[in-house]
Amino acid sequence: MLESLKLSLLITSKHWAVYRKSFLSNILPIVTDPVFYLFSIGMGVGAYVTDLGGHQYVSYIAPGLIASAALWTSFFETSYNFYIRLSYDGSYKAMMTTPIGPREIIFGELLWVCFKGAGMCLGVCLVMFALLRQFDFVFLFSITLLGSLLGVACGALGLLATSFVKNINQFQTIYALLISPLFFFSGTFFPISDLPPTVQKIAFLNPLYYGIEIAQALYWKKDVADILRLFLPLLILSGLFLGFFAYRRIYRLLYK
Amino acid sequence: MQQILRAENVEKHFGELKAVAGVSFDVYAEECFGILGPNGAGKSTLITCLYGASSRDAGRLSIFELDPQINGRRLRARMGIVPQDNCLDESMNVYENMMHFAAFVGVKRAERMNRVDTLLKFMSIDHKKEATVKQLSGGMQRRLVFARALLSEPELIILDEPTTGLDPAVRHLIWQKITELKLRSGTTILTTHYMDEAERLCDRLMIMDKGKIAALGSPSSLIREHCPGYVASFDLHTELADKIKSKLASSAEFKIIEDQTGIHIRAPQIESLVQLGKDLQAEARLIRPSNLEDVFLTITGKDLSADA
Repeated sequence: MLESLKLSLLITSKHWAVYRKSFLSNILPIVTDPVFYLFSIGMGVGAYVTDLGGHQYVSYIAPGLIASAALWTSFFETSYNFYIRLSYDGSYKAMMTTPIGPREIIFGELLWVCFKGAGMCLGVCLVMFALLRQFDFVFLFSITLLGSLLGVACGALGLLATSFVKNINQFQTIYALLISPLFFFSGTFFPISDLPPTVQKIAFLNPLYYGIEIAQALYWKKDVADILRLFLPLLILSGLFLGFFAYRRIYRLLYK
Repeated sequence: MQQILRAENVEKHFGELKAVAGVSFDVYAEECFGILGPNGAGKSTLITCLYGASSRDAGRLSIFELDPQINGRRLRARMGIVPQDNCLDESMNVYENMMHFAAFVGVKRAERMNRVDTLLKFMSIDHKKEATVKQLSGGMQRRLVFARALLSEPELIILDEPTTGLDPAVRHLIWQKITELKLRSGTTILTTHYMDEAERLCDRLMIMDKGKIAALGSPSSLIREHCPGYVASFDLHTELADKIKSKLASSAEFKIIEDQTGIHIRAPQIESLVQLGKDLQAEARLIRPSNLEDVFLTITGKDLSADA
C-alpha cells in the first residue's frame, strides 16, 4: 500500500513536471475566466441587482467563481488530458511497463486533481482579492482546502465521463450537457433556493453546489458551522462515490 | 537449465475473437526466446499478458514463480520492457524521460543520474541528452526506449517488435545491443515478424499463427524438420507455372510453393534444383538454403508479411 502511494505520488510529480513546462498557457484560462465573469456579469448585472441576500452582486458571485476554478481545472485534466494520455501519447502504456499498475495511475490522477484544485482556488482567490482590494487569510486557507476536495469530486466525475466516451470529440457534448449545467446551477450567480422545487432537487445532486455553499458561507462568514455540517459530508461523500465508480470503470480501460 | 517462465494454455479473448487461443511454452534462463508470426497472430497480446499489462481469460502463467496477474508490480520491477509503440513523453527531453522512469522503477535518487548516463552511453545516445523526443529520429527514439527498459537492471528483457520500421543500420545496432545483453546473462523474450531477426538472435523460437503455436524449436531444427534443403524461386507466369506443375506433379523430391512473389520449388539437394532449371530451360531468380520464412509458409500456407 505504501509502495502504491509512493508510485502514485511519482505520477503526480511527473504530471506537474509536464504541466510546469507550459505553465502560463495552462493556468491562464482558469484565472482569466472568473475575472471576466466578475467584470462582465458582476458589474453588468450588478448595476440592476444592488442587493442580493445583503451583498453587493460582485461580492455575491466572487466566492462561487473562486470555487468553480476547481471544477474547470480538474474536469479538464481528467477528461481531455487523461484521454490523451490514455489513447494518444501512450503515457500510461509506458508506465505500465514499470511497477506502476492501473491502481497507481488512477490514484496518481486523483492526487493530481486534488493538488490542482487546491492550487487553482488559491491562485484565483489571490487574483480576486487583488481586484477587489481585500484580503482574508482564513478564507484563503480554507478555500484552498475546499479546492482540493472539489478537485477530487469533479476530477472523479471527469474520469467517469471519460470512461464512457468513444472519441475525444464527445467531450464537447459532455461540456455542453454536464459541465455547463453544473456550473450554472451551482448557486454561483443566484441562490438555488429561488429556483422551482424540481430544479432545486436536481441541483442538490451537484457536487459543485455543495462546494459553493461552503465557499459562500466562508466568504460571508455566515452560518459557517451549519453549512459545513450539512455540505462538507455531502462533498466528501460525493467525491468517494464518484471516485469509486470512476475507479472501477477506468481500471477496466487500463487493464483489459 | 533453470526454467524462469511457464505458460500453460494461456488464452486472451477480445469479445468473440480469441487473440491468444491456448498457448503453452517454457522459457529458460539465459536464452533468447523468440515469438515469430505475422501481424495479428497474437504476439503482442501474449506479451502484454506476460508482463501483466492485460489480464488473461484462461490458463496459467508463472514467471520467476509469480503470476503476472497477481504480482504484476513485483514482477515488472525485475523486467525491462520495450513495448511495440515507443510511448515516449514528447513534452520532455531525453534526459527527463529517463529520470522520471528511473524513479518509477525504483532507482535510488542518488544513483539515478549515474545510471541514466551509463545507459544513454550504452545505447550511444548520450550526445542527445538535451534533445526533445520530437527532435529524435525513429532510430534514436527506439534506442532511448531500450535505454529506458534497462533502467531496472532487468533479469528478464521483453522486446515487442524491437526493430519494426527501422532502417538497416539501426537494426544492426539494436541487434548488436541485444547480443551484448544476452552475453551479460540476461534472458530475453522477443517478438518479431522478421525471419532474419529471429534466425540471428533467437536460441529457440515459437511460431504463432491465429493465436496458436504453429511450431516450436530452435531455428535450425525448425528448418530441418519442416523444410530441409534449398529453394529455387522462379518468376511467376502461367506458362512456366503450368510446365512446372505438370512436370513435378508426382514428384516426391520437389515441393512446389506458390505465393504473390513467384513460384518456389524446394528440394533436399541444390544440384537437383540446378538440373531442374536446365530441364525447364528457365533460369531461377534465386537459389538459397531454406529459411524460417519457408517454415512459416509450409506450416500455415501463407507468408509472414501477410496479415493473419
